Amino acid sequence: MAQVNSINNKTSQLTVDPGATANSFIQYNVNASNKFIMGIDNSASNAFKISAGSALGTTDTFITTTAGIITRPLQCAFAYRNSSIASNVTGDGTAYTLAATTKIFDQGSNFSSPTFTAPVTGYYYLSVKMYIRNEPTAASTSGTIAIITTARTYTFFLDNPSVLPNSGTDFVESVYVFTNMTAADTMTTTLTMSGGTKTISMFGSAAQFYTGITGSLIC
Amino acid sequence: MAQINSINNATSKLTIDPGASGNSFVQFNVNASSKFIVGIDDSASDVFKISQGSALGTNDTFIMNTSGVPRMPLQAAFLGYLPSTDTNATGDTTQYTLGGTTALTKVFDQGTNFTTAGVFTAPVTGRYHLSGMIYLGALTSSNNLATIDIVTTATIYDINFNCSSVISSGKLSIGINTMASMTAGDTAFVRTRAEGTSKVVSVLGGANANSSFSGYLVC
Repeated sequence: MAQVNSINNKTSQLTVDPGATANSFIQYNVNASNKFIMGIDNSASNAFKISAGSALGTTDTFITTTAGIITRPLQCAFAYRNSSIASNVTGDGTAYTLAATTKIFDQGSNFSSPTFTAPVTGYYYLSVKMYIRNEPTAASTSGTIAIITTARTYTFFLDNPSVLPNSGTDFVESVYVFTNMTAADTMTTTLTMSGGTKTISMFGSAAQFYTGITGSLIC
Repeated sequence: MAQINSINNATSKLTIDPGASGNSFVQFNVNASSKFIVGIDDSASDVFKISQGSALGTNDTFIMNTSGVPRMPLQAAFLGYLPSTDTNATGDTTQYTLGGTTALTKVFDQGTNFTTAGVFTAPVTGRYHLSGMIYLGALTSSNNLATIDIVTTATIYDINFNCSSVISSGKLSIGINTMASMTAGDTAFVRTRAEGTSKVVSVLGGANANSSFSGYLVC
């Protein structure tokens, strides 16, 4: 018969074992309220989990497989993109705020177009990619891509954008930062092209990630 | 005398203590089969570990030292670079895959999910941070487009622009990074192409890892 829950003071081993094929866990309560549960989810290939509440497999916050690969299914992480073109948004100095309305994923639901809101205080990776169209037509002479957080603005300068388009009228730039954010701080992204006409568009596609915003809480 | 394993129902404190120098842990079994062990590895400066199996120090999946710095030694993470130059790789719109001609040199590959052919395969479903960098050579002013893509099973992430006015000595570095959602078994690789000439553009390699592909599982 399998060993069941036991404390062995001689070996300092605290063993948790259902004595059959089933979950093996410790339940943490506060005044009879189930807060967290930690242990082996037998129904999920014996992964080790830390889950909020009273059930492994529901509200899992930390999972390590038997191969040692760790996922955090509720950790803040998001990716949104433009699935269609936004026409004539800048070129004359207008600061265009990227909408990025098509969700690829959004763990924690912290992005509401066009704004990401930090759920907790921490250090975040933030990135924006912009597929810029019609530059030669607009004849802009300068431009900036900005990641704007509550604490500060990170600016990428396009000093001579007229030379950047490919054989057509397009070019793509990407800007990313690793930054600190306080809980409830926000982030938006803008493109400002100046010195020309308001005929620059932000390209988007349902098939490919041409333009969009991504980010995640690192630590 | 040191406190040994005990349960204090008045304070709801469960204490695990070997009563001497030694490991302090909880063993999670399923029907007498050791699945995971969680606790203090006294032989490793008293770090807190979650380890697969029955021994702290073997198959450690999560380690936190007494300063609060965590590590995940089995987490998917990789870096590979092109060790030598591939000449005549593109220039005529040919899509060149990093690792597809000359095998990449691996710097690290936790979990062995990355091949020297430049292909990363996601071991579990999750959110991955992926970065690519390409160093092009033998460019001329006729090369009116350079691109770098991260191609995943689900999505292509693309950077492109006219490189004819920004090259120096015929060389140009272009980079890309993104957060990507990948399902277990999905693949990712880096590719590049240049346009405007015949197939004379090189992808420069070397020990400085100027042309590389890296990534890790975030959450």
